[in-house]
Amino acid sequence: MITLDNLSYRYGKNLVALDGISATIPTGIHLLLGENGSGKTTLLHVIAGLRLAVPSDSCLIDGVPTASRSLPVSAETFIYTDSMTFPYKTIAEMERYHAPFYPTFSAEQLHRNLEAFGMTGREPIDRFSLGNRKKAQLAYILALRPKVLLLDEPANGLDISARDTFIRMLAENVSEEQTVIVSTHVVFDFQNIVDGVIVLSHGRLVLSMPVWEITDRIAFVSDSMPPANALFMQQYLGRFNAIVPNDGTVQSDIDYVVFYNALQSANRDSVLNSLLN
Amino acid sequence: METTIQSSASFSFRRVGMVADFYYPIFKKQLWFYPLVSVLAGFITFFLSYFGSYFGLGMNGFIAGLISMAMLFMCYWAPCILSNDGREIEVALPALWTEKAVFMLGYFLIFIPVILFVPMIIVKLVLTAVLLPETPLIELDSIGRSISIVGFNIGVNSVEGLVGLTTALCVMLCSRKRSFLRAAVLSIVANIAVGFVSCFIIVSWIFSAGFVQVKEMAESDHFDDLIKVLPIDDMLFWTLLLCGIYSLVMIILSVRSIRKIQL
Repeated sequence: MITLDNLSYRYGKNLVALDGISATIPTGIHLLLGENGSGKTTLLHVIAGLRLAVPSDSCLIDGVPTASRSLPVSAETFIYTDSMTFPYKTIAEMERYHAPFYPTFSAEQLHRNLEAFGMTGREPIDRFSLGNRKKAQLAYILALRPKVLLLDEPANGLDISARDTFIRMLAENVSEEQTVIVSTHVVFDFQNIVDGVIVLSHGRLVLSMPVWEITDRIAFVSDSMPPANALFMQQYLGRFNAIVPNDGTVQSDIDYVVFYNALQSANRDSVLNSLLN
Repeated sequence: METTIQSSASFSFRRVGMVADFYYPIFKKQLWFYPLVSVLAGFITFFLSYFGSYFGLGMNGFIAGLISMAMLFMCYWAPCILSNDGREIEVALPALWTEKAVFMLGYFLIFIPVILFVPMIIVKLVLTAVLLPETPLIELDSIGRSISIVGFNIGVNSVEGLVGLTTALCVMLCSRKRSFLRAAVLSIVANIAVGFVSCFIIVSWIFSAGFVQVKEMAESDHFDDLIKVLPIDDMLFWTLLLCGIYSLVMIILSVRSIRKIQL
Protein backbone atom coordinates (compact mmCIF):
# COMPACT_ATOMS: atom_id res chain seq x y z
CA MET A 1 0.00 0.00 0.00
CA ILE A 2 1.28 3.45 -0.89
CA THR A 3 0.59 6.24 1.59
CA LEU A 4 0.99 9.87 0.64
CA ASP A 5 0.75 12.34 3.51
CA ASN A 6 0.87 16.03 2.59
CA LEU A 7 3.45 15.25 -0.09
CA SER A 8 5.00 18.32 -1.70
CA TYR A 9 7.90 18.66 -4.11
CA ARG A 10 9.42 21.64 -5.81
CA TYR A 11 12.07 22.10 -8.48
CA GLY A 12 14.43 24.82 -7.36
CA LYS A 13 12.90 27.58 -5.28
CA ASN A 14 9.85 28.51 -7.29
CA LEU A 15 8.47 25.64 -9.32
CA VAL A 16 6.00 23.65 -7.23
CA ALA A 17 5.46 20.27 -8.86
CA LEU A 18 3.43 18.60 -6.11
CA ASP A 19 1.43 20.45 -3.48
CA GLY A 20 0.11 18.81 -0.35
CA ILE A 21 -0.99 15.47 -1.81
CA SER A 22 -2.56 13.06 0.65
CA ALA A 23 -3.94 9.71 -0.46
CA THR A 24 -3.80 6.00 0.20
CA ILE A 25 -3.30 3.84 -2.87
CA PRO A 26 -4.18 0.18 -2.27
CA THR A 27 -3.23 -2.82 -4.37
CA GLY A 28 -4.63 -3.03 -7.89
CA ILE A 29 -4.21 -1.16 -11.15
CA HIS A 30 -4.69 2.60 -10.88
CA LEU A 31 -4.95 5.16 -13.62
CA LEU A 32 -3.08 8.41 -13.00
CA LEU A 33 -4.61 11.27 -14.96
CA GLY A 34 -3.80 14.94 -15.23
CA GLU A 35 -2.98 17.68 -17.70
CA ASN A 36 0.55 18.20 -18.98
CA GLY A 37 2.71 19.53 -16.17
CA SER A 38 0.28 18.44 -13.46
CA GLY A 39 2.99 16.50 -11.62
CA LYS A 40 2.24 12.94 -12.70
CA THR A 41 5.80 12.00 -13.59
CA THR A 42 7.18 13.76 -10.52
CA LEU A 43 4.76 11.83 -8.33
CA LEU A 44 5.86 8.55 -9.85
CA HIS A 45 9.53 9.50 -9.40
CA VAL A 46 8.96 10.33 -5.74
CA ILE A 47 7.14 7.05 -5.10
CA ALA A 48 9.97 5.21 -6.83
CA GLY A 49 12.56 6.92 -4.61
CA LEU A 50 14.21 8.64 -7.55
CA ARG A 51 13.65 12.08 -6.03
CA LEU A 52 14.64 12.56 -2.44
CA ALA A 53 13.86 16.13 -1.49
CA VAL A 54 10.67 15.21 0.37
CA PRO A 55 9.98 14.86 4.11
CA SER A 56 10.66 11.25 4.97
CA ASP A 57 7.14 10.45 6.17
CA SER A 58 5.30 12.06 3.27
CA CYS A 59 5.60 9.07 0.94
CA LEU A 60 5.53 5.55 2.36
CA ILE A 61 5.37 2.10 0.83
CA ASP A 62 4.05 -0.38 3.40
CA GLY A 63 5.04 2.07 6.12
CA VAL A 64 8.62 2.55 4.89
CA PRO A 65 9.65 6.01 3.59
CA THR A 66 10.61 5.85 -0.07
CA ALA A 67 13.24 8.56 0.49
CA SER A 68 15.14 6.19 2.78
CA ARG A 69 15.76 3.88 -0.18
CA SER A 70 15.39 0.94 2.11
CA LEU A 71 16.65 -2.08 0.27
CA PRO A 72 13.63 -4.39 0.71
CA VAL A 73 11.34 -1.63 -0.61
CA SER A 74 13.56 -0.58 -3.50
CA ALA A 75 13.89 -4.23 -4.54
CA GLU A 76 10.11 -4.40 -4.77
CA THR A 77 9.53 -1.11 -6.60
CA PHE A 78 10.14 -0.36 -10.25
CA ILE A 79 9.35 2.61 -12.43
CA TYR A 80 9.16 2.59 -16.21
CA THR A 81 9.17 5.93 -18.01
CA ASP A 82 8.58 6.76 -21.63
CA SER A 83 12.14 8.04 -22.03
CA MET A 84 13.79 5.16 -20.21
CA THR A 85 16.84 3.59 -21.77
CA PHE A 86 18.36 0.28 -20.81
CA PRO A 87 22.11 0.18 -20.11
CA TYR A 88 22.58 -3.02 -22.14
CA LYS A 89 22.18 -4.08 -25.73
CA THR A 90 19.82 -7.01 -25.24
CA ILE A 91 17.06 -8.14 -22.92
CA ALA A 92 19.09 -11.28 -22.29
CA GLU A 93 21.77 -9.09 -20.70
CA MET A 94 19.14 -7.35 -18.58
CA GLU A 95 17.99 -10.78 -17.41
CA ARG A 96 21.57 -11.81 -16.64
CA TYR A 97 22.90 -8.67 -14.93
CA HIS A 98 19.94 -6.61 -13.72
CA ALA A 99 17.14 -9.04 -12.87
CA PRO A 100 19.04 -10.72 -9.98
CA PHE A 101 18.45 -7.56 -7.95
CA TYR A 102 14.71 -8.23 -8.02
CA PRO A 103 13.74 -11.35 -6.07
CA THR A 104 10.29 -11.53 -7.69
CA PHE A 105 11.67 -11.72 -11.24
CA SER A 106 10.29 -14.60 -13.32
CA ALA A 107 12.38 -15.81 -16.24
CA GLU A 108 9.49 -17.94 -17.42
CA GLN A 109 7.20 -14.95 -17.58
CA LEU A 110 9.85 -12.93 -19.39
CA HIS A 111 10.12 -15.52 -22.13
CA ARG A 112 6.35 -15.77 -22.41
CA ASN A 113 6.08 -11.99 -22.69
CA LEU A 114 8.83 -11.82 -25.30
CA GLU A 115 7.22 -14.62 -27.26
CA ALA A 116 3.91 -12.74 -27.24
CA PHE A 117 5.74 -9.82 -28.87
CA GLY A 118 7.55 -12.10 -31.29
CA MET A 119 10.97 -11.66 -29.71
CA THR A 120 13.66 -13.90 -28.25
CA GLY A 121 15.48 -11.43 -25.99
CA ARG A 122 18.75 -11.73 -27.87
CA GLU A 123 17.95 -8.98 -30.36
CA PRO A 124 19.96 -5.73 -30.03
CA ILE A 125 17.33 -3.34 -28.72
CA ASP A 126 19.34 -0.23 -29.56
CA ARG A 127 18.72 -1.02 -33.23
CA PHE A 128 14.98 -1.37 -32.76
CA SER A 129 12.37 1.14 -33.73
CA LEU A 130 10.79 3.01 -30.84
CA GLY A 131 7.78 0.71 -30.75
CA ASN A 132 9.79 -2.51 -30.80
CA ARG A 133 12.15 -1.19 -28.16
CA LYS A 134 9.19 -0.46 -25.92
CA LYS A 135 7.78 -3.92 -26.48
CA ALA A 136 11.06 -5.47 -25.35
CA GLN A 137 11.29 -3.14 -22.35
CA LEU A 138 7.72 -3.76 -21.26
CA ALA A 139 8.09 -7.52 -21.65
CA TYR A 140 11.08 -7.37 -19.28
CA ILE A 141 9.52 -4.98 -16.77
CA LEU A 142 6.34 -6.99 -16.38
CA ALA A 143 8.48 -10.05 -15.70
CA LEU A 144 10.17 -8.26 -12.76
CA ARG A 145 6.79 -8.49 -10.96
CA PRO A 146 7.62 -5.82 -8.37
CA LYS A 147 5.17 -5.16 -5.61
CA VAL A 148 4.89 -1.55 -6.77
CA LEU A 149 5.05 -1.02 -10.52
CA LEU A 150 4.91 2.51 -11.87
CA LEU A 151 4.32 2.98 -15.59
CA ASP A 152 4.62 6.39 -17.20
CA GLU A 153 3.01 6.42 -20.66
CA PRO A 154 3.73 2.75 -21.31
CA ALA A 155 1.60 2.50 -24.43
CA ASN A 156 3.20 5.40 -26.33
CA GLY A 157 4.70 4.19 -29.58
CA LEU A 158 3.09 0.74 -29.52
CA ASP A 159 1.10 -0.35 -32.54
CA ILE A 160 -2.53 -1.39 -32.12
CA SER A 161 -1.96 -5.11 -31.71
CA ALA A 162 1.05 -4.53 -29.42
CA ARG A 163 -1.11 -2.33 -27.21
CA ASP A 164 -3.74 -5.01 -27.04
CA THR A 165 -1.07 -7.59 -26.18
CA PHE A 166 0.43 -5.36 -23.51
CA ILE A 167 -2.92 -4.63 -21.85
CA ARG A 168 -3.74 -8.34 -21.83
CA MET A 169 -0.30 -9.09 -20.34
CA LEU A 170 -0.82 -6.47 -17.67
CA ALA A 171 -4.25 -7.78 -16.75
CA GLU A 172 -3.12 -11.42 -16.66
CA ASN A 173 0.20 -10.97 -14.89
CA VAL A 174 -0.52 -8.42 -12.21
CA SER A 175 -1.23 -10.23 -8.97
CA GLU A 176 -3.51 -9.20 -6.12
CA GLU A 177 -0.51 -8.18 -4.02
CA GLN A 178 0.80 -5.75 -6.61
CA THR A 179 0.10 -2.03 -6.90
CA VAL A 180 0.37 -0.71 -10.43
CA ILE A 181 0.02 2.97 -11.24
CA VAL A 182 -0.30 3.83 -14.92
CA SER A 183 0.11 7.41 -16.00
CA THR A 184 -1.33 7.85 -19.45
CA HIS A 185 -3.22 10.20 -21.71
CA VAL A 186 -4.56 7.26 -23.70
CA VAL A 187 -7.19 6.01 -21.29
CA PHE A 188 -9.09 3.80 -23.76
CA ASP A 189 -6.39 1.18 -23.57
CA PHE A 190 -6.67 0.71 -19.85
CA GLN A 191 -10.26 1.48 -18.98
CA ASN A 192 -11.36 -2.14 -18.77
CA ILE A 193 -8.66 -3.28 -16.36
CA VAL A 194 -8.46 -0.33 -13.96
CA ASP A 195 -9.33 -0.66 -10.25
CA GLY A 196 -8.79 2.95 -9.19
CA VAL A 197 -8.40 6.47 -10.55
CA ILE A 198 -6.05 9.21 -9.36
CA VAL A 199 -6.43 12.68 -10.83
CA LEU A 200 -3.92 15.50 -10.44
CA SER A 201 -4.27 19.10 -11.49
CA HIS A 202 -1.55 21.74 -11.15
CA GLY A 203 0.33 19.61 -8.66
CA ARG A 204 -2.69 19.05 -6.43
CA LEU A 205 -4.73 15.93 -5.88
CA VAL A 206 -8.21 16.26 -7.27
CA LEU A 207 -9.39 12.72 -6.66
CA SER A 208 -8.17 9.29 -5.61
CA MET A 209 -10.92 6.71 -5.60
CA PRO A 210 -11.69 3.10 -6.55
CA VAL A 211 -13.61 2.65 -9.78
CA TRP A 212 -16.48 0.79 -8.09
CA GLU A 213 -17.01 3.72 -5.75
CA ILE A 214 -17.05 6.21 -8.61
CA THR A 215 -19.61 4.23 -10.57
CA ASP A 216 -21.64 3.75 -7.41
CA ARG A 217 -22.04 7.47 -6.93
CA ILE A 218 -22.17 8.84 -10.46
CA ALA A 219 -23.28 7.47 -13.80
CA PHE A 220 -22.15 8.23 -17.32
CA VAL A 221 -24.90 8.62 -19.87
CA SER A 222 -25.00 9.38 -23.55
CA ASP A 223 -28.23 10.49 -25.22
CA SER A 224 -29.61 12.60 -27.98
CA MET A 225 -31.27 14.83 -25.37
CA PRO A 226 -29.46 16.57 -22.52
CA PRO A 227 -30.32 14.97 -19.16
CA ALA A 228 -31.99 17.29 -16.70
CA ASN A 229 -29.89 16.42 -13.67
CA ALA A 230 -26.49 16.49 -15.36
CA LEU A 231 -23.60 17.43 -13.13
CA PHE A 232 -21.50 17.91 -16.23
CA MET A 233 -22.27 17.64 -19.91
CA GLN A 234 -20.49 17.91 -23.21
CA GLN A 235 -21.92 17.63 -26.69
CA TYR A 236 -20.23 15.64 -29.41
CA LEU A 237 -21.58 14.82 -32.87
CA GLY A 238 -25.17 15.38 -31.87
CA ARG A 239 -24.99 13.36 -28.67
CA PHE A 240 -24.93 14.63 -25.11
CA ASN A 241 -22.37 12.83 -22.94
CA ALA A 242 -23.12 13.62 -19.33
CA ILE A 243 -22.36 12.76 -15.74
CA VAL A 244 -25.41 12.35 -13.52
CA PRO A 245 -25.79 11.41 -9.86
CA ASN A 246 -26.30 7.69 -9.45
CA ASP A 247 -29.02 6.51 -7.14
CA GLY A 248 -27.69 2.99 -7.44
CA THR A 249 -30.02 2.01 -10.24
CA VAL A 250 -27.68 2.74 -13.11
CA GLN A 251 -24.75 0.53 -14.00
CA SER A 252 -22.33 2.27 -16.30
CA ASP A 253 -18.65 2.20 -17.13
CA ILE A 254 -16.61 5.30 -16.61
CA ASP A 255 -16.29 7.45 -19.69
CA TYR A 256 -12.81 8.66 -18.83
CA VAL A 257 -12.77 11.44 -21.37
CA VAL A 258 -15.97 12.94 -20.00
CA PHE A 259 -14.83 12.28 -16.45
CA TYR A 260 -11.47 13.94 -16.98
CA ASN A 261 -13.00 16.93 -18.76
CA ALA A 262 -15.51 17.30 -15.95
CA LEU A 263 -12.75 17.44 -13.37
CA GLN A 264 -10.94 20.09 -15.38
CA SER A 265 -14.07 22.18 -15.86
CA ALA A 266 -15.96 24.74 -13.83
CA ASN A 267 -18.37 21.94 -12.83
CA ARG A 268 -15.62 20.11 -11.00
CA ASP A 269 -16.96 20.94 -7.55
CA SER A 270 -20.43 19.58 -8.25
CA VAL A 271 -18.98 16.33 -9.59
CA LEU A 272 -16.64 16.02 -6.61
CA ASN A 273 -19.47 16.74 -4.17
CA SER A 274 -21.40 13.82 -5.59
CA LEU A 275 -18.38 11.58 -5.31
CA LEU A 276 -17.12 12.54 -1.89
CA ASN A 277 -20.31 13.16 0.02
CA MET B 1 19.32 -17.68 0.13
CA GLU B 2 19.20 -15.57 -3.04
CA THR B 3 16.11 -13.73 -1.78
CA THR B 4 17.76 -13.10 1.58
CA ILE B 5 20.85 -11.57 0.00
CA GLN B 6 18.82 -9.50 -2.41
CA SER B 7 16.58 -7.92 0.20
CA SER B 8 18.84 -7.97 3.28
CA ALA B 9 19.51 -4.42 4.46
CA SER B 10 23.05 -5.01 5.76
CA PHE B 11 26.24 -4.55 3.74
CA SER B 12 27.02 -7.57 1.62
CA PHE B 13 30.13 -8.21 -0.46
CA ARG B 14 28.05 -10.62 -2.46
CA ARG B 15 25.85 -7.72 -3.46
CA VAL B 16 28.98 -5.71 -4.27
CA GLY B 17 29.71 -8.57 -6.65
CA MET B 18 26.20 -8.20 -8.10
CA VAL B 19 26.86 -4.48 -8.59
CA ALA B 20 30.10 -5.40 -10.35
CA ASP B 21 28.10 -7.79 -12.51
CA PHE B 22 25.63 -5.03 -13.30
CA TYR B 23 28.40 -2.77 -14.58
CA TYR B 24 30.33 -5.54 -16.34
CA PRO B 25 28.75 -5.11 -19.79
CA ILE B 26 29.34 -1.36 -19.54
CA PHE B 27 33.00 -1.72 -18.49
CA LYS B 28 33.74 -4.76 -20.66
CA LYS B 29 35.76 -2.83 -23.22
CA GLN B 30 38.08 -1.38 -20.60
CA LEU B 31 38.73 -4.84 -19.16
CA TRP B 32 40.46 -6.07 -22.32
CA PHE B 33 41.53 -2.81 -23.97
CA TYR B 34 43.49 -1.37 -21.05
CA PRO B 35 45.67 -4.45 -20.41
CA LEU B 36 46.24 -4.79 -24.15
CA VAL B 37 47.42 -1.18 -24.42
CA SER B 38 49.58 -1.70 -21.33
CA VAL B 39 51.28 -4.76 -22.81
CA LEU B 40 51.89 -2.98 -26.12
CA ALA B 41 53.25 0.04 -24.27
CA GLY B 42 55.60 -2.27 -22.36
CA PHE B 43 56.95 -3.74 -25.60
CA ILE B 44 57.36 -0.37 -27.29
CA THR B 45 59.02 1.42 -24.38
CA PHE B 46 61.33 -1.55 -23.75
CA PHE B 47 62.55 -1.62 -27.31
CA LEU B 48 62.85 2.16 -27.38
CA SER B 49 64.94 2.11 -24.19
CA TYR B 50 67.44 -0.46 -25.34
CA PHE B 51 67.35 -0.33 -29.11
CA GLY B 52 65.96 3.10 -29.70
CA SER B 53 69.31 4.65 -30.56
CA TYR B 54 68.49 3.84 -34.17
CA PHE B 55 65.69 6.39 -33.99
CA GLY B 56 67.74 9.05 -32.31
CA LEU B 57 67.43 10.23 -28.74
CA GLY B 58 64.87 12.94 -29.51
CA MET B 59 62.46 10.48 -31.12
CA ASN B 60 62.93 8.00 -28.29
CA GLY B 61 61.99 10.53 -25.68
CA PHE B 62 59.15 11.91 -27.77
CA ILE B 63 57.56 8.52 -28.41
CA ALA B 64 58.04 7.36 -24.85
CA GLY B 65 56.55 10.61 -23.64
CA LEU B 66 53.57 10.23 -25.96
CA ILE B 67 52.92 6.72 -24.73
CA SER B 68 53.24 7.79 -21.13
CA MET B 69 50.84 10.68 -21.65
CA ALA B 70 48.34 8.51 -23.50
CA MET B 71 48.31 5.99 -20.69
CA LEU B 72 47.91 8.70 -18.09
CA PHE B 73 44.92 10.09 -19.91
CA MET B 74 43.43 6.63 -20.26
CA CYS B 75 43.69 6.36 -16.50
CA TYR B 76 42.26 9.81 -15.82
CA TRP B 77 39.39 9.39 -18.23
CA ALA B 78 38.42 5.84 -17.27
CA PRO B 79 35.33 7.11 -15.38
CA CYS B 80 34.07 8.71 -18.59
CA ILE B 81 32.80 5.28 -19.59
CA LEU B 82 29.85 5.91 -17.26
CA SER B 83 27.38 6.78 -19.94
CA ASN B 84 24.02 8.43 -19.66
CA ASP B 85 22.15 5.39 -20.93
CA GLY B 86 20.19 3.54 -18.33
CA ARG B 87 20.51 6.29 -15.71
CA GLU B 88 17.07 5.60 -14.19
CA ILE B 89 17.88 1.92 -13.93
CA GLU B 90 21.20 2.80 -12.27
CA VAL B 91 19.69 5.28 -9.81
CA ALA B 92 17.00 2.82 -8.78
CA LEU B 93 19.34 -0.18 -8.52
CA PRO B 94 18.49 -1.99 -5.27
CA ALA B 95 21.87 -1.97 -3.56
CA LEU B 96 23.15 -0.03 -0.55
CA TRP B 97 24.99 3.17 -1.35
CA THR B 98 27.99 1.77 0.54
CA GLU B 99 28.06 -1.25 -1.76
CA LYS B 100 27.86 0.96 -4.85
CA ALA B 101 30.60 3.24 -3.47
CA VAL B 102 32.91 0.34 -2.60
CA PHE B 103 32.59 -0.98 -6.13
CA MET B 104 33.02 2.40 -7.85
CA LEU B 105 36.04 3.48 -5.83
CA GLY B 106 37.63 0.05 -5.91
CA TYR B 107 37.18 -0.25 -9.65
CA PHE B 108 38.37 3.21 -10.72
CA LEU B 109 40.97 3.99 -8.06
CA ILE B 110 42.59 0.58 -7.68
CA PHE B 111 41.59 -1.85 -10.42
CA ILE B 112 41.96 0.48 -13.40
CA PRO B 113 45.50 1.71 -12.50
CA VAL B 114 46.50 -1.90 -11.84
CA ILE B 115 45.31 -3.23 -15.22
CA LEU B 116 46.75 -0.21 -16.98
CA PHE B 117 50.24 -0.10 -15.49
CA VAL B 118 51.09 -3.50 -14.03
CA PRO B 119 51.09 -5.45 -17.33
CA MET B 120 53.52 -2.89 -18.77
CA ILE B 121 55.89 -3.32 -15.83
CA ILE B 122 55.66 -7.12 -16.06
CA VAL B 123 56.36 -7.07 -19.81
CA LYS B 124 59.43 -4.89 -19.30
CA LEU B 125 60.76 -7.09 -16.53
CA VAL B 126 60.19 -10.29 -18.53
CA LEU B 127 61.74 -8.86 -21.69
CA THR B 128 64.74 -7.60 -19.74
CA ALA B 129 65.22 -10.96 -18.08
CA VAL B 130 64.86 -12.86 -21.37
CA LEU B 131 66.57 -10.61 -23.90
CA LEU B 132 69.11 -8.82 -21.73
CA PRO B 133 69.97 -11.32 -19.00
CA GLU B 134 73.21 -9.52 -18.27
CA THR B 135 71.36 -6.32 -17.37
CA PRO B 136 70.55 -6.18 -13.67
CA LEU B 137 66.87 -5.54 -13.11
CA ILE B 138 67.67 -3.35 -10.16
CA GLU B 139 71.01 -1.68 -9.69
CA LEU B 140 71.75 -2.15 -6.05
CA ASP B 141 73.97 -0.47 -3.62
CA SER B 142 71.62 -1.67 -0.98
CA ILE B 143 68.41 -3.61 -1.57
CA GLY B 144 66.41 -1.58 0.91
CA ARG B 145 67.31 1.76 -0.67
CA SER B 146 66.39 0.65 -4.20
CA ILE B 147 63.07 -0.82 -3.15
CA SER B 148 62.25 2.31 -1.19
CA ILE B 149 63.13 4.44 -4.22
CA VAL B 150 60.89 2.32 -6.47
CA GLY B 151 58.12 2.42 -3.90
CA PHE B 152 58.62 6.14 -3.41
CA ASN B 153 58.33 6.79 -7.15
CA ILE B 154 55.21 4.68 -7.41
CA GLY B 155 53.72 6.47 -4.41
CA VAL B 156 54.48 9.92 -5.79
CA ASN B 157 53.10 9.11 -9.22
CA SER B 158 50.01 7.52 -7.70
CA VAL B 159 49.19 10.54 -5.54
CA GLU B 160 49.74 12.94 -8.43
CA GLY B 161 47.77 10.72 -10.80
CA LEU B 162 44.82 10.66 -8.42
CA VAL B 163 44.15 14.34 -9.11
CA GLY B 164 43.00 13.77 -12.69
CA LEU B 165 41.32 10.45 -11.97
CA THR B 166 39.30 11.61 -8.96
CA THR B 167 38.29 14.80 -10.79
CA ALA B 168 36.85 12.85 -13.72
CA LEU B 169 35.14 10.39 -11.37
CA CYS B 170 33.58 13.19 -9.32
CA VAL B 171 32.34 15.03 -12.42
CA MET B 172 30.78 11.88 -13.88
CA LEU B 173 29.07 10.88 -10.66
CA CYS B 174 27.94 14.33 -9.54
CA SER B 175 26.76 15.54 -12.91
CA ARG B 176 23.27 14.62 -14.09
CA LYS B 177 24.22 14.83 -17.73
CA ARG B 178 27.46 12.88 -17.32
CA SER B 179 29.32 14.78 -19.98
CA PHE B 180 32.47 13.07 -21.21
CA LEU B 181 33.82 16.39 -22.45
CA ARG B 182 33.33 18.14 -19.12
CA ALA B 183 35.00 15.35 -17.17
CA ALA B 184 37.91 15.17 -19.60
CA VAL B 185 38.51 18.91 -19.64
CA LEU B 186 38.21 19.36 -15.88
CA SER B 187 40.64 16.51 -15.19
CA ILE B 188 43.22 18.26 -17.37
CA VAL B 189 42.47 21.60 -15.74
CA ALA B 190 42.98 20.02 -12.32
CA ASN B 191 46.39 18.70 -13.34
CA ILE B 192 47.40 22.05 -14.78
CA ALA B 193 46.27 23.71 -11.56
CA VAL B 194 48.48 21.33 -9.58
CA GLY B 195 51.35 22.30 -11.84
CA PHE B 196 50.70 25.98 -11.21
CA VAL B 197 50.56 25.41 -7.47
CA SER B 198 53.88 23.55 -7.59
CA CYS B 199 55.36 26.49 -9.51
CA PHE B 200 53.93 28.85 -6.94
CA ILE B 201 55.61 26.88 -4.16
CA ILE B 202 58.96 27.03 -5.95
CA VAL B 203 58.60 30.73 -6.72
CA SER B 204 57.56 31.39 -3.13
CA TRP B 205 60.71 29.72 -1.91
CA ILE B 206 62.84 31.62 -4.42
CA PHE B 207 61.47 34.93 -3.26
CA SER B 208 61.80 34.10 0.40
CA ALA B 209 64.66 32.25 2.02
CA GLY B 210 66.17 31.10 -1.23
CA PHE B 211 66.39 34.45 -2.99
CA VAL B 212 69.86 35.31 -1.93
CA GLN B 213 71.23 31.90 -2.79
CA VAL B 214 69.49 31.88 -6.17
CA LYS B 215 70.75 35.37 -6.94
CA GLU B 216 74.28 34.37 -6.14
CA MET B 217 74.05 31.21 -8.19
CA ALA B 218 72.49 33.03 -11.15
CA GLU B 219 75.31 35.59 -11.13
CA SER B 220 77.99 32.98 -10.79
CA ASP B 221 79.34 30.47 -13.25
CA HIS B 222 77.69 27.65 -11.34
CA PHE B 223 74.16 28.07 -12.64
CA ASP B 224 73.71 24.32 -12.93
CA ASP B 225 74.10 24.10 -9.18
CA LEU B 226 70.90 26.08 -8.86
CA ILE B 227 68.85 22.87 -9.01
CA LYS B 228 70.80 21.39 -6.12
CA VAL B 229 69.94 24.37 -3.98
CA LEU B 230 66.19 23.90 -4.34
CA PRO B 231 64.64 22.02 -1.39
CA ILE B 232 63.04 19.37 -3.59
CA ASP B 233 61.92 17.24 -0.67
CA ASP B 234 59.97 20.08 0.95
CA MET B 235 58.38 21.13 -2.30
CA LEU B 236 57.48 17.54 -3.12
CA PHE B 237 55.95 17.15 0.31
CA TRP B 238 53.71 20.19 -0.06
CA THR B 239 52.72 19.30 -3.60
CA LEU B 240 51.83 15.75 -2.62
CA LEU B 241 49.95 16.97 0.43
CA LEU B 242 47.90 19.26 -1.76
CA CYS B 243 47.25 16.50 -4.30
CA GLY B 244 46.24 14.15 -1.51
CA ILE B 245 43.83 16.61 0.08
CA TYR B 246 42.29 17.55 -3.26
CA SER B 247 41.83 13.90 -4.23
CA LEU B 248 40.28 13.14 -0.85
CA VAL B 249 37.78 15.95 -1.32
CA MET B 250 36.89 14.63 -4.78
CA ILE B 251 36.42 11.13 -3.36
CA ILE B 252 34.18 12.43 -0.59
CA LEU B 253 32.07 14.35 -3.09
CA SER B 254 31.84 11.24 -5.27
CA VAL B 255 30.69 9.09 -2.36
CA ARG B 256 28.16 11.74 -1.35
CA SER B 257 26.82 11.75 -4.87
CA ILE B 258 26.46 7.97 -4.86
CA ARG B 259 24.63 8.18 -1.55
CA LYS B 260 22.22 10.87 -2.67
CA ILE B 261 21.98 9.98 -6.34
CA GLN B 262 18.65 10.88 -7.87
CA LEU B 263 17.26 12.00 -11.19
